[in-house]
Amino acid sequence: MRDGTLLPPVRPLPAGAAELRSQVRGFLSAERTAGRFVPACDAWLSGWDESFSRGLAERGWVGMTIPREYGGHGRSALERYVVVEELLAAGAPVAAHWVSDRQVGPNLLRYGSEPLKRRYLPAIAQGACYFAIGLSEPDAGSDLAAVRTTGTRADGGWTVSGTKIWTSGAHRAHALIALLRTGPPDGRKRHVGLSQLLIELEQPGVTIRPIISMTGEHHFNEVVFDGVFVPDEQVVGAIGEGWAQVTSELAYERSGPERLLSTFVLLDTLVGELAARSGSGDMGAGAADAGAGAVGRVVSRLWACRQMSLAVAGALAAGEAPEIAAALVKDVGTRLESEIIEVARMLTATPGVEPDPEGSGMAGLLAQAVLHAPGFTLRGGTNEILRGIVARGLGLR
Amino acid sequence: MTAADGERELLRRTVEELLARHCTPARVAAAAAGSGWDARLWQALEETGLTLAGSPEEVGGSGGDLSAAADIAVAAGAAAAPVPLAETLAAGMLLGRAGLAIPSGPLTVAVASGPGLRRVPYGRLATTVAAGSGRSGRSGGSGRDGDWLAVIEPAGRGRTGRVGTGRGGTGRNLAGEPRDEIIFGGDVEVHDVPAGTADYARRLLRLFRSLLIAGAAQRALDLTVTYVQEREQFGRPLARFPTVQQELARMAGEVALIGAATQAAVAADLPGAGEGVSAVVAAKAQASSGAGVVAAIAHQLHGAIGITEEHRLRLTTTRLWSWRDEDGSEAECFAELGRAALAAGAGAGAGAGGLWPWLSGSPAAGSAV
Repeated sequence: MRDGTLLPPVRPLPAGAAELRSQVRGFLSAERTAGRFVPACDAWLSGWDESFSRGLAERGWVGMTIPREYGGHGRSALERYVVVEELLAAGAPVAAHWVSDRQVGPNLLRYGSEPLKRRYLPAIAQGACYFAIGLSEPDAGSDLAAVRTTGTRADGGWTVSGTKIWTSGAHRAHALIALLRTGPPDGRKRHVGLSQLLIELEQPGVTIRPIISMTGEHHFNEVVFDGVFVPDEQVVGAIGEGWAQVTSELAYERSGPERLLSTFVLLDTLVGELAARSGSGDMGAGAADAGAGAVGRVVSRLWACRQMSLAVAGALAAGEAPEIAAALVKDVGTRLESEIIEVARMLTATPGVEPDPEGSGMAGLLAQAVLHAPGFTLRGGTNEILRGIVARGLGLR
Repeated sequence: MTAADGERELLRRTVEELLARHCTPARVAAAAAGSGWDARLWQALEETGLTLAGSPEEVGGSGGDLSAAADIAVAAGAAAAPVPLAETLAAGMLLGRAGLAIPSGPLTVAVASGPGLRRVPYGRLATTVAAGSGRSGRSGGSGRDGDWLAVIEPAGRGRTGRVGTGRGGTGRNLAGEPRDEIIFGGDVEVHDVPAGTADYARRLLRLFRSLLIAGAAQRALDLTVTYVQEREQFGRPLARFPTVQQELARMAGEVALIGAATQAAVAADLPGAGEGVSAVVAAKAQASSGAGVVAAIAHQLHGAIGITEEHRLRLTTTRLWSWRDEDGSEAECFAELGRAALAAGAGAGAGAGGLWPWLSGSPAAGSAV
């Protein structure tokens, strides 16, 4: 087994990345100062702010990789990476356009028909068209090929019936791309007969029911399709090719900076407070050393995870499909996101900071982080499923 | 693939093949049990010019850049090569930077802190290139203030380097690699070198130790993958058990992280400390903390056979357990990085986002970091 299969080469970021980074940073700093957003943990999932999304789009930071002819900006995937990691590190509210920007744009560019591209890509790049993900079902979670939502052939299109679940943001989104069954499996080959359809959510036959999280937030939904007609023009890619299309789409979903940075705001605030306390002599030398060691532990791992995520991003940009490495990034990165919480708890125990959903500063951030953490290693494919993918890549299964 | 990539791949293959030919488990074990090294392997390496890759030709090196030397070090770590190959590569680069001629034969690097040079890799048989600042590490000589380098030949080859008579004496690490105390006197020539040289030596040592760990970690993974496919229990290969698969994937994650961290450190500009995170310190932190995880999973999945003298796994894991503590343990690197992170945070104030510019290596304009 060669090293390269686990890890693509580490490539440098493109020229101009530093300039772009400082523009985004300047914008975010001004927005934060003006009180237009409060940095939050996991804001890429729960920070839904349409005016913020449109503001980013006005600056060309949504749908960056969409070509100009479709209303985008023709930037590279690595330039997008730089912008996205700046947004995540700042805890900015990017949930509204998140799915559109991360995977629907690239998916339509790769598989969408010309009319589909013309219809959706410009709106995505304007930060005005929001998508949900239509994969999981009540009986198809980790076992994605078990989807039972069906598309039945109708005159000029497909009639869709079935239920999707855990669809974040569906109650506010305009559309989703559903993986569904349009044909029978080929014996035990269940990946045969699956297709992707782009379904508008505001239409008769679509019922969206909220699923409230233990945080009290509403981002999950159950989406029920009851004989919804979807015209042929809304088919993404080819009928029967859904599985291959989804698999390539998932590579974008697994290795991005959102798999490392969901609790970064907590770490940043922790470091700021520790620095202030040790600077003011509030902390004994022993405690300061212990704090530095624990901070160094997560910081070095975060740095390494980021190098790995960048390596995968570079490979994706070069047209490679580093499936194993992408799965590894999600596994190591999401576990680190939770480890950061433990370090923050340990180092704020002395002044007695406890998580408080109504609290500000560390108390509030800890509450967000602790309650969101179980989701880190579930979403985007559970870590156990991802480790199974890695094991297959190593030749074990 | 570019021409440079092709050349790099060719070099990598050449080194791996040569090492594979010589570094049989029997010979690696024999070196550990005997003199501490494999002279025949060393001779073969020297004949190819591989031992001085990355050092400038003007001072006697083989030329090429750091990435070539780094690839050789990774291969040496993977093969558990019982020779001071990474050490010689580092010494060549250190002498090259100072513009000093590279002596022939195996070399090693030591950074002085306190009197004498402790736990010098292969100190008994390699020429030691010692680096230091001011008077540290030197028992005699003038009262210099700046950075210096000294080239100390091993005992019995002329100018003094006494080995093994001090408090530390001669020693070995867990893999049987020589780790010796070197005491040198006034007859050793000490060269004044530009400020920052001693610090550069420290970074070189950390980087090359991390690269050795990266190679050994990959080898531990390869050995384990092979083993669980061959070994059958309950009527099927271990590889078929989901718990085994999960553990191996966790191991692969650590191996990939070490690889990413060390490759990024190689890509970073080594001589310039630069702004933001010190890539070399972060790489060593990751290599050292990952080494233990990798070794533990490798042994757990190998079962009892893995902890025998007879099995080759120990040749790799004993190196991982030693190398993680050498040239800066993770505790030392964590503390160093943590202090730098806190300094970055202090520059910005709580919640003002001082950590990210530092971590991403792109400090904001006008930032104090």
